[in-house]
Amino acid sequence: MWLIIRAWAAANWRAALLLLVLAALGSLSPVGAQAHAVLKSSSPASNDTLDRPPSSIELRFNEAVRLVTASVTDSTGAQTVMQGDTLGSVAILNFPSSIARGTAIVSYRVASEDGHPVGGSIVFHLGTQTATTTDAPQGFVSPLMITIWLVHAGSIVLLAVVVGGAFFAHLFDAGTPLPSRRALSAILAILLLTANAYLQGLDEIGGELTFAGIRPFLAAAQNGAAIAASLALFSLVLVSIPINGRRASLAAVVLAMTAASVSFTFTGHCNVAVPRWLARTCMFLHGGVMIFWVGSLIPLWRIGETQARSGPLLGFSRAIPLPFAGMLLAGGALAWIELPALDTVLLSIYGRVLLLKVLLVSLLCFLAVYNRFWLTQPALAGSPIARWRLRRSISGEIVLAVVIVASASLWRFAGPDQLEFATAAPMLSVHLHSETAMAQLELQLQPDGTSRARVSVMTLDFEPLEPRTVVLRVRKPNAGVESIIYDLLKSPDGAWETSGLPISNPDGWEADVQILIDDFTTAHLEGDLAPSSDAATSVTKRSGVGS
Amino acid sequence: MIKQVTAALFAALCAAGAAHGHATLEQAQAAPGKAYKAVVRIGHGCEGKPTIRVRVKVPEGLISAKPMPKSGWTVDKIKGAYEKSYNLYGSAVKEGTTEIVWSGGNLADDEYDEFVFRGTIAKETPTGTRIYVPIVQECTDGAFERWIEIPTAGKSSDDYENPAPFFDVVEQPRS
Repeated sequence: MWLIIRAWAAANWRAALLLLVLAALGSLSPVGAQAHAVLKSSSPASNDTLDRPPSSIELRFNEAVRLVTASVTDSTGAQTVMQGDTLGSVAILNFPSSIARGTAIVSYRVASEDGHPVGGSIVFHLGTQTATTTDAPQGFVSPLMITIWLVHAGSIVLLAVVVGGAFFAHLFDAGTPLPSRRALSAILAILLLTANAYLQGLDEIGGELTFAGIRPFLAAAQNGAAIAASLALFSLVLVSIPINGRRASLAAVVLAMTAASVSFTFTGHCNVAVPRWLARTCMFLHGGVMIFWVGSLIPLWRIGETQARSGPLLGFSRAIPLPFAGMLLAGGALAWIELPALDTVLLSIYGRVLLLKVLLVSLLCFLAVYNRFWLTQPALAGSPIARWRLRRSISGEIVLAVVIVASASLWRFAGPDQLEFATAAPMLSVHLHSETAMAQLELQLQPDGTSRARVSVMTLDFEPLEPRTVVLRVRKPNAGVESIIYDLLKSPDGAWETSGLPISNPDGWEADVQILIDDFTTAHLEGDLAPSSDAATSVTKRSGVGS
Repeated sequence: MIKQVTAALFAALCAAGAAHGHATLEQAQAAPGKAYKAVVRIGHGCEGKPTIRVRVKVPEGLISAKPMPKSGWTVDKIKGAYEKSYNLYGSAVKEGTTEIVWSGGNLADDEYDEFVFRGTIAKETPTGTRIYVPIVQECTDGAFERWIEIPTAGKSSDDYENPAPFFDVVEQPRS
């Protein structure tokens, strides 16, 4: 044992001196009277849910202790060192105010009479702890989420208005809107796209809705969002710069349309859908036609003002049915790819948003068919009533288009992978064994970001083992999280279970399953929760951005 | 460097002298074929509650174990078969006391007591063997402590919260 202490002391002789004093103090007290400190209770207690952060944490031990270190790890993974004081067997830690809502882990190390440091953790929740249903998969709606949603939807609508509008103008020779108005919407679109990329990055690094310097951009640059934003910006610039010559400018607009459509394929859940080539093709078609169609609505509405220019309306009404049908088909195919089973549609937010979108699109189809087959001919023939109705109907379409884009943007927060939570897929399964027994430990990610643990115990010959009790300890040494202890409960099917583990990503976590085989025999089955980091990240990766 | 190593060495020696909390054995060494007097030291109750029962698992290789009677406590000897047959003074011993239970007493959390039994270390036991003696300490209100953790390869008893007390089988025990 002292070899270890010597090695440690070589690195830190002051710590060795401290240990020396403690050991000397320990040797003065009666032999056999010392014991490791044991946490008897705490406030808040483990698994408590608090409305607001506590000002302090109180840890009550079975004997006098000295605080060595304490820290808190919040739901974003940020770790803060806590200062504190001990009074006999009670340690009081000052809880920092800058702690994110969600699950917090308070880890401590205390030294007791025998100088042996003992570590442990308590886990509690700040804010309403979410039920383990899919009703509120993200826990709560933050201002950041609402902002991301509005900015994301707004940037898509504006991209469509600017790029799709330019495409419409060139295709049907509809004339261009005032340069000042065009420039304004292009600048607004660029601003929104930039803000969108920033917010995505902010969400990725787990920040709140505050300015966080350049870091969010760097984070966003790591994934597909950056490619999507660059393509969209490229297309916006392409249609905004004046190009002489009809052919050259048409080519520029077609290139812009293509770039904008391709940008959709780099975002969203279709990126993780299989087969990917099909999902991407569908997304390209769906997005491209959407841009063209949404972009056409405002010029069409403006054209409807006067009788003089009927050419673009005629051209559009001839051209649109095929692409529109293509957009619906591509959208349907995407939904089909991403949705594994129809009977689970309503279980997820993804499914509910999909139903809402289908409903809105049906309404839109109704309007489009009404326009195309009932109003276009009379309006072209010169009927002022039909023209007035057509304008009203196009206004309705514009509103519907914005609502549809906004509803699709909700997918940013609840992709099809959310179904995994609803359909009880194990997140990971680890095999642990000792010289006497083996265990299979399964962790399953819950919608609120915590995990359920299930342990099946067996002998080395795969025979069932009936332990008296099973205790699970999890810790994350490199993040300073000390052992969190769970007494597992036996489920009717024979496995041992607990829930509320603050683990959303198994990387770095270590598990120790202690089984009591009989009164005098116990075994520790230990191992890493993420034995191969590749497998773990692929399972826990949350799909990206956009819709 | 010398200063640091000296300090660490001194600290390590003191730490060893300070003993561990937990249930422990007074005598840390025994010789093969010789008697071993196990003095189980109980230094505290379970989470502050008084101890009312002490159960000791007689380890394999400690044969013909006999508890020392203790006033105020009833002692029960649970007999059973050994895993192996041992040679004791020329005759084969296959069974004996495998568990000793002291009950009926009341040892307060702030009091100390010792529970004694004696046995013979089987001649066949190789020197260098570390023998663990699992102990279950039962208290009032159903509270208990199980001093039964036996370290796996690469670990030491210090790595556990409730280590089983142990002694080492050596050629020349220091007394």
